[in-house]
Amino acid sequence: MSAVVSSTAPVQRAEAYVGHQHPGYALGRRRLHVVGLERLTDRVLHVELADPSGRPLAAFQPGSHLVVEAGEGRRNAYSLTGDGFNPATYAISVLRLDGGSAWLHRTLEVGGELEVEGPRSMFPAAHDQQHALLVAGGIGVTPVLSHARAAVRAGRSATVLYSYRPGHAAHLDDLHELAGRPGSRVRVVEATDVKQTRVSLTGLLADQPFGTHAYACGPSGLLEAYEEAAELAGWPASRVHLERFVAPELDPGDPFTATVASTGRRVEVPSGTSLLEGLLAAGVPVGYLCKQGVCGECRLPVRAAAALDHRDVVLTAEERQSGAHVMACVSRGRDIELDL
Amino acid sequence: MAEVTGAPAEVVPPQHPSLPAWPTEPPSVDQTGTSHLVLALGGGEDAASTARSWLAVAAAQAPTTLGVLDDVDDPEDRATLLGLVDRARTGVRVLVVGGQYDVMQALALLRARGAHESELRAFVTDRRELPVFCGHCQSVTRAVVEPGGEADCRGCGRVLEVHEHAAATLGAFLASDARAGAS
Repeated sequence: MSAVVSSTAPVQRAEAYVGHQHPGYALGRRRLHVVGLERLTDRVLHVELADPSGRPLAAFQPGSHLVVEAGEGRRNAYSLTGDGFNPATYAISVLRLDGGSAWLHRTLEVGGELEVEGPRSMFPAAHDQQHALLVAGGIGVTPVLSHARAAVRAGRSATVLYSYRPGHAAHLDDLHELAGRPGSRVRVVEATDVKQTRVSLTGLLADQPFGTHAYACGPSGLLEAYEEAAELAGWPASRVHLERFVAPELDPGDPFTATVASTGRRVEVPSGTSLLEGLLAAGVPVGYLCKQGVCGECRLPVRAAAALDHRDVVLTAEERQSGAHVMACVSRGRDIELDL
Repeated sequence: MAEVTGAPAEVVPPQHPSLPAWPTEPPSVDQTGTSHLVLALGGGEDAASTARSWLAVAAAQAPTTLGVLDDVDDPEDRATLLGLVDRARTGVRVLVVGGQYDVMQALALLRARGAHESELRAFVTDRRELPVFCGHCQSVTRAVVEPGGEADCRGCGRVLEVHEHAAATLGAFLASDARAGAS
């Protein structure tokens, strides 16, 4: 089976300096073994992956995600639930919806393989965090669990608010187990309806120690309530972090022209077509992943633009203001000159 | 044969001073805060009057705590300050007034406890005294000196040149041996 082994060997990232990373360190596309499957609820499947040759995996920041193949050319991103420290396995929890997640639920079996890429860090902990307030809605519990585990490993404190529908509380037992460890500084608060969630959010945001950072992942309604409550509680935006897994609905937008600076190539982007699709159709190579303005993969440098309409949820307010980058999959504009 | 005229001229890289830019008037109270902590340091009348006017505005808007400390280096005063920070909740805005030494040291302590710049406002009533960080023994000296001047280190006794660089994290001006290299 040597041929198989060589074709599944981890691809070393093309970096000039890889430092003291161990031989298993790889972030590129590669195949991992499925070593564990566990049904957490009737719709959530927990998947554990390991290196085929038993090597340790690349470490990751808490809140990172893994990109996995999801059938028929689809690739989905799932938050890793571990703390990221020297991992022997990667674990993700997949909520069954349509498309890629249903394919994973159907297809995965212990002993099989799955193509992955990453981990990638888009939702890390702040370095100056004195305490963490972690807010999870539904399957948004996965990065929250990662942050809570990292806090426990570092001996730090965290307050977790988990909002879920009764009977659909994936990983609630894991959170309780973390909170129940001797000396643990993790506290878990549960909410099982919208009103309870709002009341808990308001109460918790009003009473966190100085220097706390808050992190939330969940459906957009929860995230809106969270941002609103944080602002009312006087939290500066620099302390309020969130990760979305559902992108907002977008209108088709007006047609516009984009120019590739290096070649002078003009690409017309009609209404209803994204800048990304326009560029790909014109043969301009652009990396992309979610096509929803969420993952940050298709960030393109902008040299000049008559107008930019940022519709992603990746760029910060300052980054939008500067106009130096655009997320090609969702954002639009007028006469955009791309620094490509 | 080229004439030797002495040691080659010292090459000085371009200097980029980083000096604190203190406001000329006390900054206003940030009304987006849901509580306020007003710190009057050093016991001077100027500091007390600024603290009083902040207190009046802040207390009318949100719960406000006043901390009056004579000396940030005094262990008891420092413990008081840490106690105030420990009781503060995120959403608080901190207003600090006093002499430059006390304000810089207090701001450094607040940053070490996780404060963000948007949560801090400060007013310096007196710039005579600087906190001077010795790059050799790492102690901080309260010295009456201008950036560029010299001060004696209280830790190791070296004569220090005070550089035009204030380090926010240390709450002090960086300084190094002014006599280094001299025989």
